Amino acid sequence: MSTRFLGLRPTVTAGRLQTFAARSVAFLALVDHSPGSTAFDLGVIGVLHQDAIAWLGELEQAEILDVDPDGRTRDLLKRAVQTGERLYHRARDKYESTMGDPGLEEADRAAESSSTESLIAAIADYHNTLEDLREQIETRVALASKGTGEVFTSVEALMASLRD
Amino acid sequence: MALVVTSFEFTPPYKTDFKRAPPDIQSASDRTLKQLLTNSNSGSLRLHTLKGYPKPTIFKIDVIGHSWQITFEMIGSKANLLRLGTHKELDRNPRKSAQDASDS
Repeated sequence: MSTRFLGLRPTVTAGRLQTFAARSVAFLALVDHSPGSTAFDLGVIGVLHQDAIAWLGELEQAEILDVDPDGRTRDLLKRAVQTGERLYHRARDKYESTMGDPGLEEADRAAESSSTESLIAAIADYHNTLEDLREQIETRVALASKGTGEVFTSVEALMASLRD
Repeated sequence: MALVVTSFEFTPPYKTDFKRAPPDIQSASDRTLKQLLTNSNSGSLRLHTLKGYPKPTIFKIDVIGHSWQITFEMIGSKANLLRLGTHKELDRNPRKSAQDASDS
């Protein structure tokens, strides 16, 4: 479970970051594949989001650049982001369906739509933090890579080399 | 914010991103980098510094007319191109999104 809940601050290493990403995918699969109540989904997403915020904060303070030498963490985060998007659209569909259900009493509709709105917001926040984290990692990996050594003073020559 | 950019270099990840980008994004990145070379202060670039990295000279610009961005590091007056990509944001407010959809 999250290092935050063990009272520990995550120290950034490539291995620990990969473990965090794998854990995120595993817990998101739990939400994705179980019928689950909105309260359960909200709880899991909330914990995952706090974990992601902690890792993003630590990464922003860290000097390490090559945080994903084999690309595995980026692949896992991409999967987590895609699952987050699927859960988001599922919750949006549920929201639309609740709002348009003529069989629901007004009080029931209000309660159901309110909890689904909370879930949509939580998934969006979590997804957006994962995207920030993915971008941090991608940029750090690029910073760690060596340039080609070829310097271009014209954009035409640059484009020709990129298309080569 | 304005930068003086006189030359470019690119990293292998940038080339990978470029090769994967759709043709219209590749063409737009051409126009964008020409704009960066001639006038980095242009509003269409939305040039800004990125914080949270060990180096203070990381910048991002918009690919003109698209939701894609170019990230680069300034080394003197050379822009070392790091990434070409998108940053997807989900809207946390379903009511607002529904309204946006009905407006469009």
